[in-house]
Amino acid sequence: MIAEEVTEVDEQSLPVIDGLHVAEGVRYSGGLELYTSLLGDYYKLIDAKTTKIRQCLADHMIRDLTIEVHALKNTSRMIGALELSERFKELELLGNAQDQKRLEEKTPEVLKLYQSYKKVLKPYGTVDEASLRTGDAATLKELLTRMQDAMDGFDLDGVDAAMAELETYRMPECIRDLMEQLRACVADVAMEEVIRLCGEMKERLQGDHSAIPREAEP
Amino acid sequence: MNKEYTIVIVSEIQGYMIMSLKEKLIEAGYDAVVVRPDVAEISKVDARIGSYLIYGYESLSDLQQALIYMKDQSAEKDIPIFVVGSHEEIDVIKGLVPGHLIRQYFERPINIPELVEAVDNYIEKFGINNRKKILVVDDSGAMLRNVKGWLEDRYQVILANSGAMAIKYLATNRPDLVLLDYEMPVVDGRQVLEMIRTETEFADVPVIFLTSKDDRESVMQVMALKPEGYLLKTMEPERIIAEVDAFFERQKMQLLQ
Repeated sequence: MIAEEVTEVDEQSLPVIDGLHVAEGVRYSGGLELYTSLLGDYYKLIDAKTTKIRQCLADHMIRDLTIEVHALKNTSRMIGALELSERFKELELLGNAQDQKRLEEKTPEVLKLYQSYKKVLKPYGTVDEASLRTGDAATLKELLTRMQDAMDGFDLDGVDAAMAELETYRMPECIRDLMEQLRACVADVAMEEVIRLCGEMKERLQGDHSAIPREAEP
Repeated sequence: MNKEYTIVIVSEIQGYMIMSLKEKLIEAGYDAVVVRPDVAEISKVDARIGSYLIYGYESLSDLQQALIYMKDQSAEKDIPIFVVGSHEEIDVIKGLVPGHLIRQYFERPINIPELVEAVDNYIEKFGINNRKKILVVDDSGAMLRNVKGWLEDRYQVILANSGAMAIKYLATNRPDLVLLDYEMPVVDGRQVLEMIRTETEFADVPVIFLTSKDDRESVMQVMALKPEGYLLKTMEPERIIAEVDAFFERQKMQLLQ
């Protein structure tokens, strides 16, 4: 679609979301559609990023923690979570100063605020279970292969299209946990992780844990 | 303007609407041919192809091979694709052709003069050889997706979430510009630029850093590696788009001198 020219935001037409400066987020994103999509991606990553930050702190991996909170400072600002962005910025400064002790003091309360956004953002990042259809293993494997090939070919649109189609299916129990991870990794464009997870999900669908050859192109 | 392009209308049915569309395109100065969605027929079009215009219809299962062929041609030769169809037909085509190759969708019922004007405007503005390829490298998926959203209507945007993936892409592809995040884990922007500059195959690819304000001093220190400059991540989208446009404009001026 040809993008609309970015115009002044009409604040009265915007949704009201508790804890978010929506107008600011829309202005930064470049449009309501991009902003809404961003909210969904942000939601999908909250748990994974929380775990990552806690792990970095526990393992004294200050540089990696700093990089994570640096990115969250930016993405939080993008969605209009301005106070949260400032809090991540404070953590980033502590990380730059290698201040493990103060990071240990400050990080938990920031993560608590971060987690609190799950409630308001859930409608933007979850699917309605009742509307899902049951998929057979062959169909799901085909979609996962499509996603793998698209990611390998740097085709994010192809990945997103495969993901959208996967989301219309109820996942079998054997891959439900991996599907959660895949959702987060696609949102985060974690390319190698997406490829790895697709492979692992296909293996589980196959019903055994030995490595299987890559399926031939249709 | 001398329009030397052929618009290839790909349609199983060749009724009144298709013929009317063909006539309007010819009136607009293009050559236009109607072919069935068959690889042999499409590949036989021996002309400078300005665009593929895919006309969706009920039975799309036969379209798959033709779509794959057009997708490959489009990616290789920068040929834009336009799609006409119902909501469902468009969804099927979206599943088979990467979104960045499809310039616009038209849902039925269509207005032929408007459709022709949209195709003409696109080709006039961007041409088939003007879609520059930009590789965006950033460890934040949100930033990658945002930048893609801002730039993809004028440029072909490829994303890489790490230095390693960027180098992998560069090994077999040549973008016109790299937008490179300065701060990334494992291999940071500076290291990625050093790797680019030491590889003879793509040493001269232009690179612009994406950085937050705090990194500005650091960025200045690595100007010796010859990035084309840097953009602040805090900039408004319109400013980033304008800076990228300005970069290519300057490049074009330099080539003309």
